[in-house]
Amino acid sequence: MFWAALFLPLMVGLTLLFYGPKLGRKLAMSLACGSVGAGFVSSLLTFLHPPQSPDQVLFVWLHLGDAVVDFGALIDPLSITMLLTVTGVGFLIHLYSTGYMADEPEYPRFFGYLNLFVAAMVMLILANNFALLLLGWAGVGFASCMLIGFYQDRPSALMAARKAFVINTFGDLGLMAAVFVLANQGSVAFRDTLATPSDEGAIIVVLGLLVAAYAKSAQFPLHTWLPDAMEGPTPVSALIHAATMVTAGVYLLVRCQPILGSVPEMGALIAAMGLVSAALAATCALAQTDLKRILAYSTMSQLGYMFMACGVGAYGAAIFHLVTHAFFKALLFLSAGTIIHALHGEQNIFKMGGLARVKELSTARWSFLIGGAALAGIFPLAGYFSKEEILTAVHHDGVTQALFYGGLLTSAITAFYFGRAYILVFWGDREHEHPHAATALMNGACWVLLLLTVGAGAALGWPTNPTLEHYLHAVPVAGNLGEGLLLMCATALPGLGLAYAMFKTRPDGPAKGAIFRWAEQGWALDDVQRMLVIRPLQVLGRMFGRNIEDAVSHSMPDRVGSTAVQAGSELGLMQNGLLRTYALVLLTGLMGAIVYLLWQVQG
Amino acid sequence: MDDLLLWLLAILSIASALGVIGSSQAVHSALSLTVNLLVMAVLYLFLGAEFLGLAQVLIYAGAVMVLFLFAVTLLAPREEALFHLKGNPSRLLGLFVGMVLAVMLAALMTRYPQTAASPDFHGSIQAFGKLVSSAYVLPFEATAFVLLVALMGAVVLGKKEPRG
Amino acid sequence: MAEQPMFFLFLSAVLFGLGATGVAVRRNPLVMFMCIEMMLNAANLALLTFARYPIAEPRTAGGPLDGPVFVFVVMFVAAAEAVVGLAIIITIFRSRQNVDVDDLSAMKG
Repeated sequence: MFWAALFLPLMVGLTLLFYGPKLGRKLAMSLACGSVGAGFVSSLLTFLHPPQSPDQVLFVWLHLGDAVVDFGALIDPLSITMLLTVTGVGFLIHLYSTGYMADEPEYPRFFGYLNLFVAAMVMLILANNFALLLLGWAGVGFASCMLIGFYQDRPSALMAARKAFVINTFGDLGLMAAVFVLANQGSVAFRDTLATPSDEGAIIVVLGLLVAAYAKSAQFPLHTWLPDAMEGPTPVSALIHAATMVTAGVYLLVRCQPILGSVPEMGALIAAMGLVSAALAATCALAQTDLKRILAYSTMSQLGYMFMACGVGAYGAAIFHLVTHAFFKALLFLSAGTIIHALHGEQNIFKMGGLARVKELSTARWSFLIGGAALAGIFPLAGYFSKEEILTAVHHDGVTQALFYGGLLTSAITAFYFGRAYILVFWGDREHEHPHAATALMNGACWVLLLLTVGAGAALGWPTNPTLEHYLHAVPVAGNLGEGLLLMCATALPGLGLAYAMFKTRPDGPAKGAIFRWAEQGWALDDVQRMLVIRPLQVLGRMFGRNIEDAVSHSMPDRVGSTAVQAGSELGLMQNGLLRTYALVLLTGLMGAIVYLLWQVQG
Repeated sequence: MDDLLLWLLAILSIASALGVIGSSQAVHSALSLTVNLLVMAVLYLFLGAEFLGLAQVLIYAGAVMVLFLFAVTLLAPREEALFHLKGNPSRLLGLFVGMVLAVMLAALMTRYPQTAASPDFHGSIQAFGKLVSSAYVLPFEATAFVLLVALMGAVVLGKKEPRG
Repeated sequence: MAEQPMFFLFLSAVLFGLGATGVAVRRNPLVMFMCIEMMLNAANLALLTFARYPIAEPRTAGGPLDGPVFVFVVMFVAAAEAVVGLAIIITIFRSRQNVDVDDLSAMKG
C-alpha cells in the first residue's frame, strides 16, 4: 500500500515529462496533485495499519558481489513519520503550485519534476538498504537540480542548478564510499548493517555518511549551493530546499545512528559542526536583502540545530525539529511566495514595505508572522517545542556548555533577523499598485500549514508528553516547560525587541559597512571555495587539456584511424580479384596444414 | 591378375587426369574427366564399396558429366594456349605448388600403417540403406535439403532477368 | 602387392596434386571445376581406403561404413556444387560473352 506513495508520483511524473503538453493544464495539474495526495492517503493508511513485518521486499534488485540488494521498504516509525511529512507537505505545496505556476507555460515540466522529486524522496525514505537509498538520494539531487534551473532563460538559475548538482554529487560520492565499504563487508541492507554495525571501516562509513549528509543538508562547508538554489520557483524552495530534501541528511544520520554510535568520538564533532552551520547561517541571514535568501540561510541554520541534536544523541529531538521545521518553513516560503507573486517577482525586502495594508496579502501576512514566530521559537508554536528540546538536550549532554550558549545566541539572532525581515516587508507606508491576488488554493495551503504550525508542536512534543518520541521509540529529552519559557524569554524576546528597536523607523536601504556586505556574501565562503577548489581544478583541467588531452584523445585516435585506413588500402592490393591467385593462396595454406601434419603425425 | 588390373587402372586414371589439365580444348578435358571418374568407380569396387561405385557411375560419370558437357558445348570457350609459360609467373607458380602438394601428400600417406583389409566392410546397398535411414538419417536429410537448395539456386540463376 | 592401402593412398595423393595444379593453372572456369571434381574424387578415394583398411576397430555409429557414408555425402554435395557453379558460369557468360577467369576481377579490393 505504501508503494503507492512511490509509484504513483513516479508514473505521473514521467507521464507529465513525456506527454505533459498534450494533457492540458487542468488534467496535468490534477494528476500531479492527485498522485501526491493519493501518496499521502496511502502513507496515512500505512500509519494506521503498519505491516506485520517492517521489512517489506518487493523483489531482488541487484547482486553486489556477495551482497544481495532487495528492492524493499523498511516501514518503521521513523520512515512513516518522514513519509507523512513529505507526502503531506508535498501535497499542500502541489496545491499551492497550481496557483503559483498558473501563468507558467511550462507547467507540465514543473509538475513532472516536482512529482519525480516526491517519488525519489519517498524512495529515499522507504529504502531498506543503502543502495536503494543511494538511488533516491541521487534522484532527489537530480530533481532538485532540474527545478532550480527551471527558468531556463535565466543564466543565474542555470549556474545555481549546476552548483547544486556538483556539490550534491560530491555528497553522493561520500554515500557511495560508505555503500561500497558496507557491501564489501557482505550486506548493504539496513537489517544487517544497522543491527550489527561492524567496527571495521566504520570510520570511513561514518565520514562518507557525513559528507553525504552535509552536502544534501547544506551544512558548512558544503552549504554554498543552498542560497543560490533560491533561483528556482518558490514552491520548489519550499518543498525541496526547506521542508524535505535538505532534511534528508538529518534523516540519514538518524537512520544510521547505530553506525554513528560505533564511532562515539564523532558525536562532539557533529554537534560542533552543527553549531558552526547554525551560527554562520544566522549571521548571514542578518544581512540579506533578498527575502528568499533570508529564508534559505534560516533553513541552513535550523538544519544546523538538527545536526547538533544528532551530535548529542537526541535523535528524537532532531526528527521532531525536522517535522515542525517542515511545517513552519514551508509556511514561511509559501507566504513569501505569495508576496513575491503579488509583487510580480520582486524579492528585495527594501523594495517591499507597507504590505500590511494590502488586503489581498492578509493571509500571507498572518502566515509569515506565525511561521516566523515559530522559527524564532515563540510559545506555543511548533518551533518553540522542538527548538527548546534540542537546546535542553545539548544542555543535558554536558560535553561542553559552549555549544549550549552558542545555540542560545543563534536562537536570539534568529529572532532578530526574522523581526527585521517582518518589519521591512510589512511595515511602513509604501504604496503598491495592482498586487497579484493569490488563489484560494494558495491561501488554503497556507492555512493548513498555519494550523499545523500552531498545533503540531504542542500535540507531538509537549515536554511532559512527547508523543512523537514515544512513537519513534527514541529516548525522550527530559524537558521542562518552565525552563523552556525562561529560555524563550532569554533569547527570542530580546532578539525580537532589538529588531523592533532598530527597525521601527523602517530604513530605506541596507546598512552600509564592509562587515554587512561581507555577511551578505555569506562571509565570502563562495570566494574561498573558488580559491581553494575551483581555481586549482581549473588550472589542472587546463593543463590536462593543453598537454595531455591533445595527445591522448586527439592525435592518438586519429593515428589509430589513419593507420587502419592505410593498412586497409595496402592490404586491399592483395585482393586483386583474380580467382587463380585466390586458389594459389588457398593451396599454399593447405601446404602449411600438411607440413603441420607431417611434423605432428608419427608413422 | 588383380595386381595387373590395378596398375593399369592407376596408369589410366593418372593419364586421364593429365588429360583433364592438359588439353587446350575444354571438351577434351571433359571427356578425360569422364574416363577418370569411371576408373575411380572401378577402384571403389575394388575397395569393396559396391554401392558407391555404382553411385559414382550414375551421379558423376552420368549426371554431372552430362551437365559439364552441356555447359562446355553451350559456352564453346576459346582454345586455351596452355604451354605459353614464359612471362606467366602465376602459372609457373601454380604448377610448382601443385606438384609440391602432391609430393607432400604422398609423404604424409607413407605414415599410414600397413593394415589388413577389414573383414566386416560391406559396402552393399543393403548395409548402406540401413545406415542412412538410422544412424545417419539427419546428414542424409540434410544432403537432400542441400540438393533442393542447389536446384532452386540454379533455377534462380538461370532465369532470364525480366526487362525493365 | 597392389592390394595394400599404400597403393590407393599414393594414387589419391597424385590425383589430388594434379587436380590442384589444374585449378591453379587453367584459365577456363569449366576446366577449373573439373579439376575440383577430380580433387574431391581423390579425397573420396582416400576416405574409402581408410575405411577399408582401418587402423583400429571403429567405434562410431556407422561402424566400418562411416567412411563410405562420408563419401556419399561428398558426392552429393559435389553434385549440388556443380549445379550451382555451372549456373553461375553460364550467368557470367551471358553478361560478358567470355569466361576467362583472368579477365574477371570484379572482386578486386
